[in-house]
Amino acid sequence: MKTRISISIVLMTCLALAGCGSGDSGAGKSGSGDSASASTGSGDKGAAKSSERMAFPKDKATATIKGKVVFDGDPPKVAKVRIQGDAYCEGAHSTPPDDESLLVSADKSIKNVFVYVKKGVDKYEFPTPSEPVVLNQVGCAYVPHIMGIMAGQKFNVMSSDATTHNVHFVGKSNREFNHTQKEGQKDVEEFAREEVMARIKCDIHSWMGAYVGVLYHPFYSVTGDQGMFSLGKLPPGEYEIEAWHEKLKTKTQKVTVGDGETKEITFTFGK
Amino acid sequence: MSTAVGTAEHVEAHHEEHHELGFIRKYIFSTDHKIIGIQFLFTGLLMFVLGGALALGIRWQLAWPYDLPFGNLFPESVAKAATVGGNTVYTMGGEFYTMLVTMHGSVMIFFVIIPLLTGAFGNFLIPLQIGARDMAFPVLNMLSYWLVWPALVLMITGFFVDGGHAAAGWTAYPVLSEAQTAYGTEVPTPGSTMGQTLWCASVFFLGFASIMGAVNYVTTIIKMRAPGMTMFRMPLSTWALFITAILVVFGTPVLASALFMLMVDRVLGGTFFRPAQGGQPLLWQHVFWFYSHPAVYIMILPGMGFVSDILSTFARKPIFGYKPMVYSICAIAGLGFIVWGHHMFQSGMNPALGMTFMVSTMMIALPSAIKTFNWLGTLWRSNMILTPAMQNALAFVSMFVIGGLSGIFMASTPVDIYIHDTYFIVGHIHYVLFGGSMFAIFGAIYYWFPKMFGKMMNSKLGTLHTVLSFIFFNCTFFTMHILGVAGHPRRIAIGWDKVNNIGYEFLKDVQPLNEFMTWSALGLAATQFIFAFNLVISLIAGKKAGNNPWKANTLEWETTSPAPHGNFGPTIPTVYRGPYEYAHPDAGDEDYLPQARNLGKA
Amino acid sequence: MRSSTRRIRSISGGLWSLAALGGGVPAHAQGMGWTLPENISTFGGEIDHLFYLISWITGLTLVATFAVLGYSILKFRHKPGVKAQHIHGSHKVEIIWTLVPAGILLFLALYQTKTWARIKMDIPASPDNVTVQVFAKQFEWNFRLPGTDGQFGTEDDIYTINDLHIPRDRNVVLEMRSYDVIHSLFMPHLRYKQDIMPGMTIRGWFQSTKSTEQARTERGNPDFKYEIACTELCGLGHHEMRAKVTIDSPSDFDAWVAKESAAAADFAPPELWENWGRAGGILEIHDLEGHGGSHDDHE
Repeated sequence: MKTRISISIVLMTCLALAGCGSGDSGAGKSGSGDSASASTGSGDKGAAKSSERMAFPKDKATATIKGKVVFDGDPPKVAKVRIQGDAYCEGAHSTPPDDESLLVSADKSIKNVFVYVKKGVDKYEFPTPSEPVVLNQVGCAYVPHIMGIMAGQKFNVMSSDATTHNVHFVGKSNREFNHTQKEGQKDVEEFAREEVMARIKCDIHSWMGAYVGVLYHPFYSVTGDQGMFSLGKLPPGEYEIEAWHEKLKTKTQKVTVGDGETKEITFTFGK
Repeated sequence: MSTAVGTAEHVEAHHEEHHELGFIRKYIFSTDHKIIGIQFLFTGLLMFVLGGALALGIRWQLAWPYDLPFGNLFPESVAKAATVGGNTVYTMGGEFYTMLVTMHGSVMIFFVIIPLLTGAFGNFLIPLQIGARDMAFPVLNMLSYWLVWPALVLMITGFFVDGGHAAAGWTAYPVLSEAQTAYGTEVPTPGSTMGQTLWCASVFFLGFASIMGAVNYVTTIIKMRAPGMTMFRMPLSTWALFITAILVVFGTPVLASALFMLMVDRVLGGTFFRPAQGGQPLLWQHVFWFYSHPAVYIMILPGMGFVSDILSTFARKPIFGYKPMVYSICAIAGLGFIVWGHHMFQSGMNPALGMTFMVSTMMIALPSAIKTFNWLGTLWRSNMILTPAMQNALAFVSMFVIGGLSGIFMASTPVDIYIHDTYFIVGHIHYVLFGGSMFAIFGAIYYWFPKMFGKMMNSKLGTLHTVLSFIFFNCTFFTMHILGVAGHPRRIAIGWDKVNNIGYEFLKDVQPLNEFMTWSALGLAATQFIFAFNLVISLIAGKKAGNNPWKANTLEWETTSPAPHGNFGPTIPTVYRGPYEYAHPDAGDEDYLPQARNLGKA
Repeated sequence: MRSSTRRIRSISGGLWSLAALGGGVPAHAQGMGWTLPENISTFGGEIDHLFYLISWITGLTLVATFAVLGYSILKFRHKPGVKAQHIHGSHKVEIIWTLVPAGILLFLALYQTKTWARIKMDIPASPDNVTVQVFAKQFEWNFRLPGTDGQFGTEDDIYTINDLHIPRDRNVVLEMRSYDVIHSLFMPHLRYKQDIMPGMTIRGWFQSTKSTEQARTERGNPDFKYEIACTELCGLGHHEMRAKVTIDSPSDFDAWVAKESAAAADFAPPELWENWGRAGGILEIHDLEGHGGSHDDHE
């Protein structure tokens, strides 16, 4: 009788632990090379639940919002990045490269600003694109430096450098990952939730950094050398557009577009 | 009708024996210490295979960091394809490597050596050697085995969770092992999400299993010895297990507290080891090593005890210096509690402690040296029979000497500045844990297999296994000392990659040794199949064993092979002398004189 | 010949062969580079001396033990009808082999305390001392020199990554902190190792007797460098945490410091140095930003 009680206690403890222990476990193989994204969940604050969203009315999407991002004041001098500590990286650059965290050109346009539709498309459902977004490591720098991606879209991370990098993604809403990569190695990841913006860094080379913005929709654009962005083919309506820069923070604007209209807006960042 | 001294529960268990037990109660949920011991034996040997496989993974990477042979056969998480000079090669990332290193140590220490030495042989031998019918608390004993299974399940689950298993070393130093499981915080290492938490929980459970067993052992030895079995007539196996059990009782709760604090930090946002909130990572090291240093003595003392029994039996000669041997065991255990700081000489703790711990650590070499000399004294002018058990015992003595002597280098704090966290330490660890404990376990299995299963193991296969293991073992692990002297750090995935010219240039000359060690390790692993084969074949078709195939003196050989439920038939033997009366003049033509033989003299 | 003479001769022959092996093997090993690397540290000689002393003592003990063991296995084999010596021990022998090892061990322990104190407890004061701040992080060694003004935290500070740039013949004082987890600074040729504990500033020192230039000339290898390894598991990039020590002659070093200090204003200091004084390093930052220590984001 005593033994029977003890056995039941042991079995119940096992069951209880099995419940606690496996609550979080993913379905992947051992190691951290999984591409399985983290569990589903309602981490998205503000967006409608996927079951309530309707299909995106492509035929009505005729409007465009585009524009420029400029700097108010004298453009700050472009800083240089000191590359040291790795013979390959040092050899990849004859002169120190520009610091991509603040690139303001002579005409005051700002590069690497992530512009996206913050509000206005929440009620639509968008299919996940089949093409991946590719992040490469070239000359010990991330290419591109700023990028956008849709939740559930494949994120191909690769290295073209003959040195070891590690791609360390640190997000607030998305699962952290960290992969060491040698030349030619590739890892495929996915993000489950919206997050603007999350940082990717290399722990081995501290000057390397990139940012990725994860959205539920494809309306994002990263400004280039001329500071221009374009968010095309939207249905008429009211939208809130946000411009994000890693050093200059964010600016928002409300824009209303009619059927077939193209609106040009400007974001101005001060010092 | 029983003349044994025992607790009320023991008497009740005795009554239960009269009912015929079903298969489940007899062999699965058994309270018979012999069955529990055998359960621990098989579980431990199974985990030895897992631990060994993890070790081979480590050696695979270290030998060929530029291109893992057969890398294409493994999943991406193990070996990733890379392009070098237009060719596809397979390399292992640090993520997987640090996990291998962590889990090899954790599995071997917590699931192999401690369960085999204390769980398997502690359970099997103690009542038999002291003349008791079973342990003082048979049901607690059964629970101590079954608690291993939740621990095992938790530990195995860790391999399959998101992020992989724990990867912060078996020593789990914070801050690396600290990070939290919630998203949005910086996680210092893969494996530091669920893996590390499962690891903590698993070891926590195992600790309880250990403590439950130890409480049983201490009580049984103190209270349930047969008539005439005074403390100083107990075999050294029993003495060693007794003192080990005391170490477990005092040390393991400290580990539990360390694990608990780590879990609180990880899961409940505690700050024991977080410097930002006033915590101190060094605290973990002190608490962890306060247990883990006595743990290494837990892992060697039983082996020393078994070796003493085996040496004496096959030397056909009494143990030289029985009482000094007993006192040495006690001294090792006692001193074992005041040397933990030698793991932390370079840690940033107050260097003045480096002086005090150096002195205590040097002194703990002394009782081990005394034991070694006494073993040599036992062998001198003996009449040696080289059975596989004896061969393993001799291997133990010689390998333990090397392991112990290399410890002197580390005890010397200035020398430790150089060799700390290098392969010199790894060499030392493996000489005492494999060269010591594992050979003792092999020897104990060869020796007590007949008593456990009633069959003899094949002696030729045993010799082959022992000799090959000895050769491959030395090739694999002696070389590590050379690597350490050259400065090769521990736990690094690449020493020197000669194809891509990356790594540590000062290790260029010793990199070929990494390859050599991998080949030896593969040989060592392959050799263990001989042992496994021998075990299985002997269980199925081994020659039937008599009561006392080795003509030994201790009480377990007084009964049948295998021993029956209740151990000794209707009467418990009475003990008339010490356990090592070989070559006794009063024994007439025989060269042994069992403890329980009544010569009719006063 | 009497059997005892034969026995003595075979034992001594065995011991001499072992000794020859013991002498020959290390010599061969030296040729193959399987020994302690070149020592260029002022206190390294003491460490090496202790290492060799212990090697001799343990080596002789090993040879003697193995000789007895080997001899026993060969000579005292089982002969049927013969009994072994029935002896339980010898009080005299126990005392000898307790006191002699105890004496040797105690001697060793006390003999080394001075060296330990010299290296780890006292930092020699000298106006010539060069102080370097070491900020260890996953998986990079960051160093900071005070520049020509001799002050840390000013515009002319010199920042290097994975390159500890120091002078020969002057004491180098290290102030070591960790940005995240425990790391350990190991410089094999300088015989220096120190674990770097998050939340603590640990000070240490060493002095080099040779410069990188000299080493390159001596070896005939223009690419030779003295190296740094991390010797405390710090994560998946632990093996990537390699760095070099660039040792200049004192005059070359002063010239380098002057040049780098002047150019320092063109470059922004690496961001992590803002956290030099913070107790918790990277984990503290996250806690301050309010998303650590609880399950806010748990689904």
